[in-house]
Parts: sequence; structure tokens; C-alpha cells
Amino acid sequence: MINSWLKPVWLPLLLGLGMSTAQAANIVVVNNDSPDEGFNDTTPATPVGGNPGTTLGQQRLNALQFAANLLGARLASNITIPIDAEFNPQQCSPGNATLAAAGATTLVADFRNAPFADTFYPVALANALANEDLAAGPDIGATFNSGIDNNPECLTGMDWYYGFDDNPPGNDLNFISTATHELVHGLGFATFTNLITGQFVEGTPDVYARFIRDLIMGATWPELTAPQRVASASNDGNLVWDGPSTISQAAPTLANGTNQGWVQLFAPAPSQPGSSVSHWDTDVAPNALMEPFDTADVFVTQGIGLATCLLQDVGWTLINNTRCPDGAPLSRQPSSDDDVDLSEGDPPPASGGPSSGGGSSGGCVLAGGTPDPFFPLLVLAAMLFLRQRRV
Amino acid sequence: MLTPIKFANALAILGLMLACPVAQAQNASDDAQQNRAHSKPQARVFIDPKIGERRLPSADEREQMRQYAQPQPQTMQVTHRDGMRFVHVPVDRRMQLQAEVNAQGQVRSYHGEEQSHD
Repeated sequence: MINSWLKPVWLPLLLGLGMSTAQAANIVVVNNDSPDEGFNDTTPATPVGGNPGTTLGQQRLNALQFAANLLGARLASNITIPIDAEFNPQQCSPGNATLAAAGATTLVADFRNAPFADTFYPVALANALANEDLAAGPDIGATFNSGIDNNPECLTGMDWYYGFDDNPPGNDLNFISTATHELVHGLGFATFTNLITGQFVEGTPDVYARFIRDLIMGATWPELTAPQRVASASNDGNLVWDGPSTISQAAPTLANGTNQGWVQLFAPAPSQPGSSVSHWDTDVAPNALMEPFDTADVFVTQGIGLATCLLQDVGWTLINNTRCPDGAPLSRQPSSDDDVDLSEGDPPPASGGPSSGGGSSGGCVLAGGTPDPFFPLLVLAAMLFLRQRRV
Repeated sequence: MLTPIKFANALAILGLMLACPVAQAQNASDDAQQNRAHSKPQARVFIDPKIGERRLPSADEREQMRQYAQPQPQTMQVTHRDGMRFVHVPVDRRMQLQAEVNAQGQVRSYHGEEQSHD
């Protein structure tokens, strides 16, 4: 028998409070390199742009963890997201190079709490939605080209810039921007549809594909046949993102790159596997992090822009008052003589941003902080304890 | 007369007779797996079980070796557990970021991807 103050009116409320406060995602870099190479390279380095590392390897690790924290501070998950990361020598010449490769290691379908049945989700998102670790091991795999550093024969001597301040000197490559872009792909900003055949993986759409709409064909990708999807992938200007958060909150903020109120996806003709469909259109203005080509005027330390909206559409819950689109500056701008601060977890300033009222697929949660996922159990235990004492 | 000791010995011998073929079969299976997994195709040795000597590979085995020698495109492997489906994404399906230096000496990065034909 339940005491009067334990009536069902209170119980769901208390349970609901506990369950809605998911914590900021803990995205952890797993150093997969051998001694003295990659993340363990002992070449001395001078701290730069807030990155306090004194070896090349330390700076690489710090910078990747900084990018991971930048995303973790914006997304909710009670399940740790491991990134299996390596720095390896890859193709490089004075004129061109492979910079990086990244993506989800596993896709999961038909798990508990899946918003769409019969749909593959990247495992990090599936874990967050199911609130359990569905597949052991890394959720994202990432490899970066170590041959770029200190190599005059590679990209005419350009180096990775490992500072945290989005301010690479000369033509050096902004590592945190590159890493953030790649990790966002691993979190769900990518379709696994084969753009050559139009086939879904095992005939099952991924969650990204569910929100792709072709305005000429008047249908979303799951509604099209495989040959139609092949054609659609190069339907430049008419392939758009049909996610409610992006439509309602991001599209109105853009000066260009929308079609009938939808944000355009990159769909050149002929199709460019690897770039097509899984990026915003290059017409999008202002420039966005998730365009296929590097744009120097995008600063990830100022937020990840439209990407938050898309991530919210595919099922992520935004946290710490993260806005859609996310243009929040860091509450703390690192400088070169700062002590190390890899947390980047300081929440963006609170604001009544457009998404604070809650989006279509989760919306912003009540608060960030570090709520306890066992809160409902603790509440129940406390209630039972008090009841015992009263009896 | 069948004493308890004789009975125990008989049981032991019977047990050994039953166990040995199973162990042999298991070893043969392990060897075959190891051969496939770890040996170069050219290093495979075929033994005629009747005479216990080397023999030439059959046409099927030659075709099998030829296929092993070719790099196989990585495919999406689906597994099932607790009503869920899991797909292991091969490394070659990751988004690859490339960079080019243009005539002005500036870097332009773009994505490229080796898509396997699954």
C-alpha cells in the first residue's frame, strides 16, 4: 500500500524529472598508437593556442580530446562514447594528401527506444537512445595523417595546427575543426546508402536517409527505389534535409542554400561518393562546419552551427542550452599561455534560443550539470525508507 | 569373469576409442581454419590422405586460392542479438578527407570515399 503522498501523481513526476536529465556525453579518445608514434610521438613541441602539450603526440591527443569535448558538451548521453583513434602515415605529396578518415564503427537497428523501427542508427546514438551500451568496443573510428607534420614534402610543408583557438598560422590545417567535422559524421551526420547502387545497408535505411527529401520527386529516400536514389543523389539544389528542427529553426537563419524552406544537401552531378548527400550544400550561407569543403570562416570554438539541428533531428538530445543552430561562443576563450583546459564543457551562455522550447525529436533537456541516472531509484528508495519509518 | 578392475579398464579403452577420432577431427578442422586464416595461399600444402604424400591442388582448390589472393572488398556484416541487428562498418566505408594545394598555394579539403560494392 502506498502512502497518500506517494500517490501516482507524484511518482511519474519524480521519475520523469530523473529520466529527463541525461548528462553531457563523455566522448573519450582511445589512443590506439604504438610507443613513439602518432599520439605517442615524443618530438618536442611548443605549447600553442591553448594546447599545453610539450610533445607532438601530447598536442595531437589534447587537440582531438578538445574536439571530442566540444561535441560532448552539446549532446546528451549517459553512455561513454569511445573513439578508436590513430595517427598514421598516409598518402601525402606536395600537391595532395589524405588528411583523415572517420566514421561510426557499428550501426544498430531495432533497439529499445528507437524512434524509428527498421532503421540503422550509428551506435553512439543508439546507445544514447537506449540508455545502455549495446555494443562493446569503440563507437567511432578515426585515423589522421601523421605524415603532414614536419614534412616539407607533404602539402608543401603545411602542418596540422593543434591550437584550441581556431587560429592556424598561414596555410596550416586547423586540426580541431577537421576533427570536429569528422566526429560529427561519426555521430550521425552521414548516410550509409551506397550512392553507386542506391541500395540501403541490408535493405534497411539509416536514420540520416529517413530525413533526405528530393523535391523534384516529391518523396523521402525510403519512399524511392534504389535507382531513383542514385538519380536523387545528384539532383543538385533539390536534395534537401527534411528534419523538423532544421526546417523550423535553421533554415530561417540562412541567407542562401535553402529551397522552399528546406536546407539543401550537397548533391552535385555527377555524384561524389564520400561528399555527396552527407554534407550541407556548398550554397549554404553563412558557411557551415558540415559543408564538404573546408571553409576558413567557420570557427568550431564558436559552435557547430546547423549541425546541432541535424543531430537533433536524427535523435540526439541537445544539452546545456545548446541552441539550434549553435553559434554560442565558448564561455572561456583559451589563450596560448593558459593552463590546460581540455574540458570545453563549460556550457554556452543560457539563452532563450530558438530550440529552448524543445524540438521535435527530443528538444533541449531541463539542465546540464551532472545529474545522476539512478535518480529515480534513489527517490524510490528514499520513499520506501521514509514509509518504513512512518509504519 | 569381469572384475571391477577389468570393467574400469574396458571403460577407459572404450572412452579413448571414442574420444580420439573426435579430437582428430577437431584438430583437422582447426588446421584447416588456420590454413585459411593465416597462411599465404601459395604456402598451402595439399596432402593425399590415402598415401600421406603431397598432391597437386584440384581445379576447385586452385580457384579458391586465386580468390584468396585477390583483395576482397570489405562488406557490411550483419549480426543479430536480442532482436537487434548490428552492422560492422568496414574501415573503407569511413568518410575520407582529402586535401589539395591549389595554384595559389592554398589547401582545399574535400571528402572522398572508397565505396565497396556490397
